Amino acid sequence: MKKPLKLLLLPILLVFLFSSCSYSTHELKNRLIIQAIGVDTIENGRVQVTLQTLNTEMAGNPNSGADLGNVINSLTTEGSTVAEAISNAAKQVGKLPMLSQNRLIVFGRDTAKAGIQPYLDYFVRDAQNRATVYVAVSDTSAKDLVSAELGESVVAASSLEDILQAMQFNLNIVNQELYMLVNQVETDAADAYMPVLKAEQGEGGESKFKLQSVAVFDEDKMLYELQDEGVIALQILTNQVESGGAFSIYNTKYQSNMTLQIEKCRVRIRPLVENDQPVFDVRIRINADIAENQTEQPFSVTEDYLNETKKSAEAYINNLITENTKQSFTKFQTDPFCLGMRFKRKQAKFYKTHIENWKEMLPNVKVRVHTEVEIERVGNGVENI
Amino acid sequence: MWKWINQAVDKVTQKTPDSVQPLPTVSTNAEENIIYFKKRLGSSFDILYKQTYIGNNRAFLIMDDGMCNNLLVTQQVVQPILRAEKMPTDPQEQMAYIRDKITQGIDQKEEHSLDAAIKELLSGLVILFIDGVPFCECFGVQGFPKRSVENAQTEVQERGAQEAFVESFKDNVALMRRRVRSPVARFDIQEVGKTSQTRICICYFADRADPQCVDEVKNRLKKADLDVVLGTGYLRPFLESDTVSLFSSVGTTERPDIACAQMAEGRVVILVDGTPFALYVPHLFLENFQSLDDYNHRPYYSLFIRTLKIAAFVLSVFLPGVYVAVCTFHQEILPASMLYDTAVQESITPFPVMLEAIFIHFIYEIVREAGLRMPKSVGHAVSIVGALVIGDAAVTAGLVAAPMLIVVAMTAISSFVVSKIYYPVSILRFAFMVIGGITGFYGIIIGFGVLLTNVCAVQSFGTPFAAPFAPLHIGALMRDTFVRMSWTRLGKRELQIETLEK
Amino acid sequence: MNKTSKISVWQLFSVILLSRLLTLLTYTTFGLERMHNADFFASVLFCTTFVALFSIMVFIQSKLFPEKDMTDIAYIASPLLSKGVSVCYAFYFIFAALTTLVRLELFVSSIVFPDTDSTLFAVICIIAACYAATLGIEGIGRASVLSLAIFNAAFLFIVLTMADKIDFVNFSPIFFDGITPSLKAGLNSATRTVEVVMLTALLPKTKGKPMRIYTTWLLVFAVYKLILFFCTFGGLGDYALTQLFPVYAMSVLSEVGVFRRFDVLLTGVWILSAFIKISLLFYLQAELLQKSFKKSWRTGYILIAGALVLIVQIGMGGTFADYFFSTTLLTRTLFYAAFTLVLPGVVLLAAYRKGKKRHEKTA
Repeated sequence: MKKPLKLLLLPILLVFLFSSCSYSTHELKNRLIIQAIGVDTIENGRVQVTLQTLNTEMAGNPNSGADLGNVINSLTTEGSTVAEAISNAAKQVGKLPMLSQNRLIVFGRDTAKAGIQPYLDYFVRDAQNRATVYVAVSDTSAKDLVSAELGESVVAASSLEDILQAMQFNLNIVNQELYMLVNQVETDAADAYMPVLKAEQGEGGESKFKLQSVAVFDEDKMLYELQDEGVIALQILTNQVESGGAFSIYNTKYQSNMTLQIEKCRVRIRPLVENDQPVFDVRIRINADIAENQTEQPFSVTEDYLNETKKSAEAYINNLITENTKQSFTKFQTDPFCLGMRFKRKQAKFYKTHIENWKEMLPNVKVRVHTEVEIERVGNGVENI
Repeated sequence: MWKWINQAVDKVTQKTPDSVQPLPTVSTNAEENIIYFKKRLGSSFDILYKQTYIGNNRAFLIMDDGMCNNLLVTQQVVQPILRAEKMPTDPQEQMAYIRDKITQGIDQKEEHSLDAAIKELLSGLVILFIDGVPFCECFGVQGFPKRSVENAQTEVQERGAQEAFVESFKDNVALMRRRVRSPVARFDIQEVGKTSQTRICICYFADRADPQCVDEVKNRLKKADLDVVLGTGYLRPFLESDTVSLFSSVGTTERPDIACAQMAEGRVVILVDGTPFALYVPHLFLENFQSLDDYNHRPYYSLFIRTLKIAAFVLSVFLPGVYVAVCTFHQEILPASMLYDTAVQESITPFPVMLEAIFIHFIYEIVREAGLRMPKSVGHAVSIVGALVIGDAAVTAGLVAAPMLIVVAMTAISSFVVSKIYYPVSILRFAFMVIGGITGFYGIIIGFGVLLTNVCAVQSFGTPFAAPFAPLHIGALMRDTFVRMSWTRLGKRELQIETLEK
Repeated sequence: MNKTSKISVWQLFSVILLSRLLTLLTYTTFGLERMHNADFFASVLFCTTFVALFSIMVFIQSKLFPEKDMTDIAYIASPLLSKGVSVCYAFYFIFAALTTLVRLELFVSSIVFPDTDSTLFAVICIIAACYAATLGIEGIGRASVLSLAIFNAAFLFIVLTMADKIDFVNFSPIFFDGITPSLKAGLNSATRTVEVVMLTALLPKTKGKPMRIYTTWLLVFAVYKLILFFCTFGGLGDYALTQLFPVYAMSVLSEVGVFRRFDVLLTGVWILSAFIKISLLFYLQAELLQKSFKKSWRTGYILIAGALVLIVQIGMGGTFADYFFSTTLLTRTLFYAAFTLVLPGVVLLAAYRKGKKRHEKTA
């Protein structure tokens, strides 16, 4: 290396070394670790943001015995935009907010009804935000949900996250990630949905959380809510059913209430055009185990009984899908099942010609469901005594 | 500024004397020769002169007391000469008689130059001058103190031979000869150092070493402008690549078996008299992760060990830097539970993470260096103090975070796994800590890029240092890199280092 | 012991592939007209075709003057032309280095360090690239092979961790709004390809048959791009189009167990590629200039190029970044064609005619 370059290098290195100290504000110990963000609209179009932040000292030493306060703190700030409100958090804590560990974004019910589009931009644009962060609607205001506490050593956002992740083994739960929400809000071919979460006051004064329903949006405005059966239909049609989910049927011939636990569920949806109308040919194949057989008189498991169970289950699923799609399509003219997106891909020509009046066409859409249920295991039972 | 520094250095140094002088020849007057010897050697107490008469002719025997075996001198040189019967009277015939009939050693030679005779004297030979003879006779009766062959200290091996090189030059050659009893093994002697006139031996297999490479080694060493050579380190810079790199492109070993293995692959090994280490060229970067034990284990285990060593290298260089970068810039990478623990631990320390990392690693290096140089009896005390000060007190006092300590421990242990490159690794570690603290993970990546390009640009005697990875040689890569073939295949053909040049 | 300063065909392949992959990872849909995500797949094929068309002069160069770069070829026609050509190509390479740095800076300041000044990062990057450029083509070539291996490992990891997130529902129908958006996107991508011009300088520095490997490169790159687009749009759907760097946004999705945000991996190798690309560009411009001007100034040319890039970047970074978004496709295509078709065409024709005349004279 040339001598002048060597001479230059030393001061440059020193400048770099010393300048690094100025980044200490970005260090982990100086960050406000955000666990959940609640967005509510308030008067004059301003935004109220509630942040659930981590008390790192308590989070790192939950069993220290010292009075370190609650593991989470909540703080509420305001601003004309979400970004401004979040940056205003520094007024209360003097730390740089860190959004990368955020587990949940919550919109208040009123905000969801008024439209969430304006508030999504911040979460899409900010590089720190994960695209896979969960989004939900609060049954009341977002502040109520985000500031609720479950005890001094429980991270409330983590509990909410656990509830949403339980979708893996419960058919009545669906979760929604930010990027999927944006896709659904932006497309003309489908409508967005989000789980509705509720904070209830428990007996001991502490809160407890519950998944209330699933909110369905028309464009970016919350329109109505899907209850249990609607949620099952949503899970099935969006192909999200995993092993472990259970549904109950009534076996009319044997007069028994039964619960079947799904082992495998495959859904094939073929969008067709028949008589100039969109038709969805839905084929569902479910492999399930008998989880419970509630009957007054125990009886042996026979081939006939299994066939009857199969038939009842198939009829239940067929009816479930047909009824719920019908209700969404005809009553609300919405498609949270994303069937339109499939139609757009497979029947692009037809969709293109009807892109303007797709919503109006929804009530005429036919959904043909054909379900096949295979009983895999019958399991233990009192009938064997 | 450089000019000023050079001037300052010149003030405290002097140019090494030029040894090119006219060489005086042995005079027929033995006393004149002795006077020349005394003039050159001064009044050194270890040089012994014995005047005697062989027949009617005056003779002188000269020896270096410490370098010769006194018993051998008496039994094989002095006694036979003085008690000889039928000794001719003519001095020249006397010398021929002594050389051919009396003394029994093979290590014996005739010298006509006085300076050459002095060199032989200082190498432990006894010199005999007889009046009227224009040359002297040198008898090899060396017996200087030396260390016996011992176990290797820096390249410990589990299942192979335990012998290591010693300071004695001839013993080292013997150790290698014993392993390779083939006429293709060549040991060429050369001298370096104007004053020390240190002997070096250039060892290679004549049938596979690249003759150009051998000549280049000899030429470079011949041109080495040194006054005194006391170790292999003196010669290393003359054999290094033109591209400046933290990693040496000259290999070092203290094991004769490794030296032989290198020669078998067509490399050139350089032994230096008085040093229990050998140098070899060309050297590959990958060899820093290999040991002879790999060849004694089954191939699958060698693969595991080598992978482990490379992982240890990566950890020891990058782990502290990455930790600093993660804590300073990329907290999102940490899983939530790990984030909480790290955040709470880091929150009690007063320094920024980068300074904390540099501080604690600096302390660790001090403790390590102290442990290395201290007498063994106090070495343990140093370890205890180090462990207590760094391990316990610093954390308790809130000066250092516990995760940082774990990082130091992991780094330290990992760096000992790749002990051959400990020194460059420790420097790189500091460099990456600074880069990580300033520019985060992406700066570390750029640093890695610079390091990679640097290593790839190094050529060790025409062979790319990063071969067989860069340039890629599938044959060599599959033969003996991460994966080592079984001896049933490996033994059939020896790798030719020359082929990696392409 | 043979001293060479040539790279193998595979090193050439690695160098140009890394250089191109860099553009792919920071592929941005901004500045393009609104198009459906499946149209991007078609744009890959169009882009490959366009790049192949723009490479015609390189093919001719390799046939007529296999061991010469454009400066050497121009020298056959006239030494003055040779100097002019050197300056033109050096300008192009410095310009390419600048655009690479601008993109790097854009990425770093938008994604990596949105809260801090990225100037320091740019300075370090340029210093490192200058140093690497002084090490020569062999060092850069060899480093690129290893970097490509690392890139492939990261690429495979991201693709594998993304596999379960891909949903075909996310894909739009192809050519929903006709073929024009895809064609334009293809041309847009092609005009951001500096490898064609790089090749004119790299050809004589390569052992073996570089044009064969160049064809392989065209195809391999298309495959890489298709896979990345498949993962990006299959995983993110139209959300990807809302992002400044969609491929990066895709990598954010990859998760293994409790470990998230493996985008660092992809970003890391991407920055490694940027470093190698800038080093190579600095090296190439210095090589051309030292051929035509003072030979001993090689390091000087590299340092001057580095300083120039830094001055423009730091001094007018914001203005120059507009190049990506505000330059019209026509302007960019004309600029690109000037260096890939017009300039080499003129030089080749002049050299060919001069060579023919000489041949006739000697005959």
